[in-house]
Amino acid sequence: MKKLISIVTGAFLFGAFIIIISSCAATKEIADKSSTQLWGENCMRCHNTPPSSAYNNTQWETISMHMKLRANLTDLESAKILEFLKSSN
Amino acid sequence: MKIQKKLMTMLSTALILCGSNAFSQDNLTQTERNEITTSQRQSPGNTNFVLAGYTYSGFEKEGDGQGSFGPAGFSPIFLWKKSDKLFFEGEMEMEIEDGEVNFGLEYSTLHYVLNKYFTVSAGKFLSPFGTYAERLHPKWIDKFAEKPLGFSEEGAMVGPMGEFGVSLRGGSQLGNAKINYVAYLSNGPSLITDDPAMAGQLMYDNLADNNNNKAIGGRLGFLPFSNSSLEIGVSGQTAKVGDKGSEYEHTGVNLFSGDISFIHKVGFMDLNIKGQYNQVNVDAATYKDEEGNNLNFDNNSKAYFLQLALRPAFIRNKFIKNIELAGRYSAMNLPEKSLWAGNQSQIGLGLNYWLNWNSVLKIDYMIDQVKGEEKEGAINVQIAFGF
Repeated sequence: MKKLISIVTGAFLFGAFIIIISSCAATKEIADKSSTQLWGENCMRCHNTPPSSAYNNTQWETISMHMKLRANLTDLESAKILEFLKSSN
Repeated sequence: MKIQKKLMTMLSTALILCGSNAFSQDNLTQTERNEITTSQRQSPGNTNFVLAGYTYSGFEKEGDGQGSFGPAGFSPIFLWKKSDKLFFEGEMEMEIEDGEVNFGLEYSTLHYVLNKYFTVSAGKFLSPFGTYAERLHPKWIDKFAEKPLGFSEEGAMVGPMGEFGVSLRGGSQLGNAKINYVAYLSNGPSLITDDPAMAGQLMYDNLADNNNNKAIGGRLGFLPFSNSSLEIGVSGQTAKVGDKGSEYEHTGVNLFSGDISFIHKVGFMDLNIKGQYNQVNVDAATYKDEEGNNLNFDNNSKAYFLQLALRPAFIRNKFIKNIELAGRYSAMNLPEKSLWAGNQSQIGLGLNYWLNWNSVLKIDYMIDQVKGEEKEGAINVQIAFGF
């Protein structure tokens, strides 16, 4: 019975969590941020910012996915950073 | 006969078409033909592969001991992006230390992107218990040559560096703030009971589970500022750790971790602060010492570090802007009455020179203090390249 209550509570909290994050859109301030700004802000959280010339555009697509998963970047951040790196190459 | 005639007509048409195509290609200049061949050769295809990773080598000298070159290591990372939804990442670890070559599989993880908020992953992955294992441990990222106390596989570990299981992860905006999240099921740690000298300690390399219970864990990170400069994270894990069928089968463990990351521009300097606190509480259990006597103790361990780095990144002088000063305090407290007890602290002072964005030369002076013993100094020099 105790286990069942834990499972139901866990499922309820997980459901509530999904509803909350799905309903929270980025504010205008965040949505309007330039891709260059996002590149500078997010890479620096763990390591120096890489120059776009470090990899070619195809490699950046793979590396940006690796970084999105490692740092749990949002979809918008990851897409904009990739856009910046490719457009600067 | 009619069929043969039709076939002949079709063949002739095909030859004429091929011929006209060949003729049209013959009209191309040599440069145009080279461009076509080059673009065909450079076409990336649907599956994108990148070989990344890092390598390092160094010199270390502890106390009055003789200095020695090493350790040296090479960690290739294989990244495959099969599609926008399917991704694989794997890291091999090869290191020469104390005359031995060690091979390891740091991680081997398959990812499937469910939607923009969630990615499900399976395999061996870096533990999202704090951020040190997942984000800061690669030698070209770590500001020091050695890992903090309690975070290294070479000594007693307080908290896992890797997991074997499945996870769900992602990140999302919360207005101007941001959150990121990971939840996972894994084999979890196992409890050492058969070696009296280590009895009660946890082993985190539990590649084959020792019982039916699976560890449940997760991390929640919160970035309150819109510029992502501050991240505060909490992590936890709970599991049963005893061998199936043994008297320790129902012995459990609760692990807790808090982490912080702060980056800020201070005048012409980049300020970078990182910290993590790990605590491991194992349920009460009775172990046997080397003479077969009962051994009971409060099996609680903790390890933590706080690190600060300053780099004058915004000045013009090319040499000075690549210099970084780093300081780190780390400590580890292990259960007092256990046979593997120990209280240890370490102060590290580092001078780093960045050769480029992912290559660094580190010169560290470490002061180790084991409770009840004299302080001992050590010098570590390390060069690390990311690639």
